[in-house]
Amino acid sequence: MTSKGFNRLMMVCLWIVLAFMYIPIVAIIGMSFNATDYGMFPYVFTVKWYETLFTTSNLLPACWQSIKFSLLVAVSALLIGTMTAYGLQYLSPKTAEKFNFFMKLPIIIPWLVMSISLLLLFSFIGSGRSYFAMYLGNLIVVLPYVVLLVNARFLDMDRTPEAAARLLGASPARVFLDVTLPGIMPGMLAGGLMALIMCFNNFTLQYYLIPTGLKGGNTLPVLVFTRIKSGYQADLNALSAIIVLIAVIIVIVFSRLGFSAGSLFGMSGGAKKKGE
Amino acid sequence: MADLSVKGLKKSFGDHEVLKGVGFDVKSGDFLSLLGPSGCGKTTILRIICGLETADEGEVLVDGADVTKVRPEKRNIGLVFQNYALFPSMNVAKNVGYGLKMHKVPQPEIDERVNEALELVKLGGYNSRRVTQLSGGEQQRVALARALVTKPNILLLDEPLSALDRKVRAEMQYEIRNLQRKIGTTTVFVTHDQEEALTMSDQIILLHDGQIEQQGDPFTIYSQPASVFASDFLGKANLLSGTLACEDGVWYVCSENVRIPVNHVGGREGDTVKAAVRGEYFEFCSPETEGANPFHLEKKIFTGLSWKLIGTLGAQPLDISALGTHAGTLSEGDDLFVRIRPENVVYYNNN
Repeated sequence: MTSKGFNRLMMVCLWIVLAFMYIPIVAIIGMSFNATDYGMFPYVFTVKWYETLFTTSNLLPACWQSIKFSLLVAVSALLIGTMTAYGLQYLSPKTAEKFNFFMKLPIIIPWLVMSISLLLLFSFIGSGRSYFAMYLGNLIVVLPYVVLLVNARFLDMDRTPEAAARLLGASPARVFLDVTLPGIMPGMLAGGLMALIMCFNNFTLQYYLIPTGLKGGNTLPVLVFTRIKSGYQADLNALSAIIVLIAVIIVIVFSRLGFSAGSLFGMSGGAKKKGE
Repeated sequence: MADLSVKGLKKSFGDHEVLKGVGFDVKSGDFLSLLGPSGCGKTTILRIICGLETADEGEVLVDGADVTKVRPEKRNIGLVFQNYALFPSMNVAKNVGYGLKMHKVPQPEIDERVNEALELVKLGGYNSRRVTQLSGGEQQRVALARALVTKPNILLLDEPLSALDRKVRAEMQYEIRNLQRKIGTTTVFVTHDQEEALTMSDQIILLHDGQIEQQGDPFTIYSQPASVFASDFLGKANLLSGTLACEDGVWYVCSENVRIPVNHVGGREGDTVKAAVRGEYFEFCSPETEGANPFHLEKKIFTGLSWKLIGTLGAQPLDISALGTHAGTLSEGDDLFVRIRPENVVYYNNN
């Protein structure tokens, strides 16, 4: 499979796939500067959608609402998930495997099913839709990612330095702070980031569980959905462009900090060096 | 510096009984090696001594005080791990100084003692290096400095040299031994490498299957292996089967066409025994010499230091290792005569 023609063909396929993935993103950035509504031609350059976004639009408050909500969920998931992964290391391999299976299950269960069952549950106990219900729902969905990524780091990293620290006089709590935490940090960052993004995105769970008249307004996905029903306005393009920009910045910052995509998502040892 | 005493250690993992009652004493300042094949329980003993593992039964005494239930961070026992176990997120100085920091030593003193420890292991000036950038030998030295800087009562070394290449390993063997003599810390060294154990130790404990097979100084252990296992594990002695016989007050192990003189240590005439004889104790001689036995050379292999001569003594296979140029002149297929002194033969009764 090393023929030149075949390699060239593969390269072409690669470019097609990349184009397919990135053209929509580039298009929406372009459209955010287009004065014509609905992404129509002729293309007339403008920044008026950005003006709208930062003045009269209701998108920005919703965006804040979503960011605050996602941070709350992500931080909770990070705390609970890291503790879970830590505990997982002290189970027998058999039990840990079973536990892992049940941990992964929420990833496979469709969000729609999860949302409806949660709504039924909360209605049954009489609380119905609430911020807390939405919080729990999103937490359930993102928690497995944190546990899996931190667990992968635990399995990947050398645990003997922790024993070494212990013998040098460090209490178990000190060992965790000084040795364990720096070791699992890449997994925690990846898990936290994943949780943040998944939660920011999660329309289904938020749509079903968000209370009416929530203080601070709807979350972004819910608002965008209702707005598309009532009529599309291009300030959404402007917001999308800004979100893409932020995402790119996050990726660059992380890679500058020395986390390759592989090490972040537990696919390789990342910071693992020889002798470890 | 402290005496270490281990009594009746037993430990099982699930159904597997790893230690079946192991006890020994180490005098203050001594260097003891626990030698044995992998899976014989030697690392488990170390982990019990330092408290990372708890024994099912038995106790560990340091200077007569029972530490069996003391938490590992309170024992002041240093351990150098097989894979060094350095803290990857800290530089060399932070690694070495970690124990002092945990013991609340003021920072200026930490700096001073870290420098001293690094000088001791010949890594002066390495303070701000990242441990991940060091070679295996250097990492080993950092690990050693880190274990020694807190002046532990007892130093434990868990196969610390097994990951190093041959040349560095030889240097480190020598250096660790020198260092240990200099500072006089009671040391327990775990290894599966008999040469390492013989070179470095004051005392060797040979472990097999969770039990002590033999204990003694290196020379005794090598020249007087107490069992078939010991003779085979240390230096791979030849085992020859035969029957015990006595003639004019001289005892022999006899088999087909072969009569090896031995010092009688027990057993009666006619007992079937196994004699352990080391390949390097044989010498070539003329057929008329007292104690000469026929050796048929089948194959010779040059190993650098010596020649390995593979052949048969009577009807039984025998490997002889011979130094020098004489062995080089022999050719495969030769029929020769060899003899061995009775003090170099150990025999074990089959009953």
